[in-house]
Amino acid sequence: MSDAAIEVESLGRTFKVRGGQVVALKNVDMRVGRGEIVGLLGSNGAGKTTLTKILATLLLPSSGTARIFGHDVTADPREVRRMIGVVLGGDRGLYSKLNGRDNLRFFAMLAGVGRRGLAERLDAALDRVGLTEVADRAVETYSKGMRQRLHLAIGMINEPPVMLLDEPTVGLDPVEAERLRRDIAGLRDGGTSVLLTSHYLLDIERLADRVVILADGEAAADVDVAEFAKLAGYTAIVTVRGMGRPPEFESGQSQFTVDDLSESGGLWTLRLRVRDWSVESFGSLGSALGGVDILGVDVSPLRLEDVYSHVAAQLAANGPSKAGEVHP
Amino acid sequence: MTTLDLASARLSWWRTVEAIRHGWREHGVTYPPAAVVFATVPKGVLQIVFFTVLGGVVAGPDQRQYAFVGGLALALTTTNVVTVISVPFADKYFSTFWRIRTGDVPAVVVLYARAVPYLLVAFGLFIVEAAIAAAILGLEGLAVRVLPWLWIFAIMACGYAMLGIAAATLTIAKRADALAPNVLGYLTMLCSGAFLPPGQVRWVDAIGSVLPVRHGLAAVHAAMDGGPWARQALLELTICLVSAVLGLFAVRVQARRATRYGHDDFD
Amino acid sequence: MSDQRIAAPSSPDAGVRESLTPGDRVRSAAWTFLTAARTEQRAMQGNPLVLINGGFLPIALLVISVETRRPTSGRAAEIVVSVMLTALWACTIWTSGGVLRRERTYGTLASCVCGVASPTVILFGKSFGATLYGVGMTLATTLGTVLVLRLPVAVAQPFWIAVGLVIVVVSATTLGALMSCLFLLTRNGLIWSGALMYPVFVLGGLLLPPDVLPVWLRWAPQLLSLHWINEFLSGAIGGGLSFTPLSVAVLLTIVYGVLAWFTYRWSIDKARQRGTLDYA
Repeated sequence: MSDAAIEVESLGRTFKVRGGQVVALKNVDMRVGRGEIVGLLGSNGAGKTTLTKILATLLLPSSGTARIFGHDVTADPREVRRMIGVVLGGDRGLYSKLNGRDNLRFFAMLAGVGRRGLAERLDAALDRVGLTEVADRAVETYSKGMRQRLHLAIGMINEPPVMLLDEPTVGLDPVEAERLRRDIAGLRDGGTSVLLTSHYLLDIERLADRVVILADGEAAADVDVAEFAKLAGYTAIVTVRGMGRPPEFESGQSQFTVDDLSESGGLWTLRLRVRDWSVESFGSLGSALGGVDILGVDVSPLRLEDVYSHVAAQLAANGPSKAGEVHP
Repeated sequence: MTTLDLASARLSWWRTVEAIRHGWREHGVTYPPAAVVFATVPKGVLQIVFFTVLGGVVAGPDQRQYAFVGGLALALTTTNVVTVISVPFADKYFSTFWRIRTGDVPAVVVLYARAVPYLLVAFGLFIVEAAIAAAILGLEGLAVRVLPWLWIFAIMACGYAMLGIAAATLTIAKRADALAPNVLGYLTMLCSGAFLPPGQVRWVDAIGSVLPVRHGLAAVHAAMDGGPWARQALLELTICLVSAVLGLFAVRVQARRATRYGHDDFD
Repeated sequence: MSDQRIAAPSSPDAGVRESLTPGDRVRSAAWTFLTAARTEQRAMQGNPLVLINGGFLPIALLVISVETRRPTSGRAAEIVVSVMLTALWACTIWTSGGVLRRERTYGTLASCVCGVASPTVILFGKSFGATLYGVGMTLATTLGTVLVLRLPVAVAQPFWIAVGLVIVVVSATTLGALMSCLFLLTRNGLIWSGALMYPVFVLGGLLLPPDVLPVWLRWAPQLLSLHWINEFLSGAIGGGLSFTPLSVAVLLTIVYGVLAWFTYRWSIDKARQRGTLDYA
């Protein structure tokens, strides 16, 4: 059996539409290792869901190969399906007039779960996602978060070694989203490999070991999360407010890059990007601001949103190149 | 890899029973008892009454008796058995077909197994409706004579159910919940020989000869008249089996379509 | 705590609404009605339901009614009118009677009943739009089948037939609006509305004349406007014109309309109490 949980090589998918065709994926290469969580990022239409559906054997690729623990998704879909749990989420995909337990039981049977100990397994799955108390209520009475948790329980019911999660936290409030993230983090603790697509950088930040960015159907970046943060070229934003003459920062000065300077009524606000925020850089900042009337200083650590915006802007300007070649 | 009891996962009796159980639960929420008792049963009764009386109005007392037997077949199929179409429709409506087609049990088995409770309830309701209608129309004696041939009605019901599932599955992109049962219902009304005896309109006979109900009804009429009925009954059984194969074909077509286009919404 | 109440923010057109004349209100309601009708017609374009119920059923009923035993000329006209109205009733259940069902499916029900415009005017408008389609399809198919089957039907009073058809449209609109309320009152509206087909087939005095009904049930057809329209149209075709059935049909249509108005309002309140407006 292959060492990698998920292997994708030169994967492509084209859809025929009226008047032409849409290339959803072209030449995607990526890999998810055992027990790893990989975040799949990309703008709308980048191909994230298409890739997920190919791996879930819901969609055939037009070219290339995709394998789950060495089993080809096209040639060996049955084996693949035994190894994956899929969560497409959303309001649909459940028999709303039936209760959560009935839904879980039916889909467990379809997923190949045996009869022995089924009731206990259902109870454990419901308990794991915190739906025990509402298990016997009709799904149409569930909140969005409850439905997402039920989707997750269904995806996990056959204890697959690989989970494919497509935007699992979409539409959830912060408390529900955090709860779901804890559930997903628990998967990795159990040795499950996860491919997670999301628009929410917080999901990636909290859960992912690596990040793959899809742009225009290609994998434009494939880096560790820690390295991903460096792609922006800075680690913190410093906002300085003062009055009188604003300080001057020479271009090319090692630590700081001016992001924005606004002045109004004798007051100014300066935004600086700092490459490596540390005690020393704080000292350098103090020196640079010497002789200036300071009203306040705020330091904000870099958010992944900022990184992604930077990367997306670069991709929009330069187009995707080989994976990993997005530069700060 | 985690261990799991997948050893004999494929097509086991247990899984089929689970699918039947799921169908039973689905039926219960889709057709609640109150709706069944106060809406479906009266509809079936009145359907039998309507066609029987209409037969008498347009063509006299003999036609009335003929139309009663035909009305039974219409009530069985177009009012009761037609509910099986809810099974493929539910998967469209709730977007659950993708789990069924990628599940460990063949999709057509899941569909047919879920349809079993619908079929059983439909047949039970049909018996009740027939009894009530016979009493209203004063045709109890005729109804008793039909009793030994209920097994032929059961074959008609199975054939109609499977053709209904096949039709609904194939038309699932286009308002299957209303289109499929209505088309099938009107074709059955017109071409099954339920009201219009065979030999009256040739094109009607031609269409009806390949649909469920027609041969079964001919067998029932022949049997009640003391004539040979086996050939017609066999033809009805054949159409039932062909309908089952059509259902299999329909599911495969939709599954392939979904895999080709990547969505199961069928919109 | 202060007992001051916070004044409701004045809306930009509050002053305008207060100064609306009765004529303005009527024009506004007419505009709402026509827009709703047009929207429903566009939504129903290509709807196979209309084709099946308005197209198929008249063919099926006509063929089985006349090919079992060929009718005489006078009887043929009666059968044709009865079949047309019977089919129209079945079509009404699915088209104008299904307006709110379709709104539920699309997820637009809440917007229709909780907007600024009168929900009842909207419902009647949509029901009218749907009915026009159904009536048109049923009429066309019935006429086509009459021609193909070469039934001996002659039309004596075409103007009054047209008048009768207008009443058919209005009557079906109000009946459809009334039936639509089922979809607010129950989650199983489809089952209940489907069950309404055969009671009218049997007791409506259309294909089955009232004299085949038990004596104690012969009053039932008199409550159905379609029965009176059936009598009027049969007379208009056959040459025995009488305005009494037309008048009764119009009266019953008004009663249905009033009933639909009150039932709809009550149904909306019930649905809002139960919180089921959002359920699909």
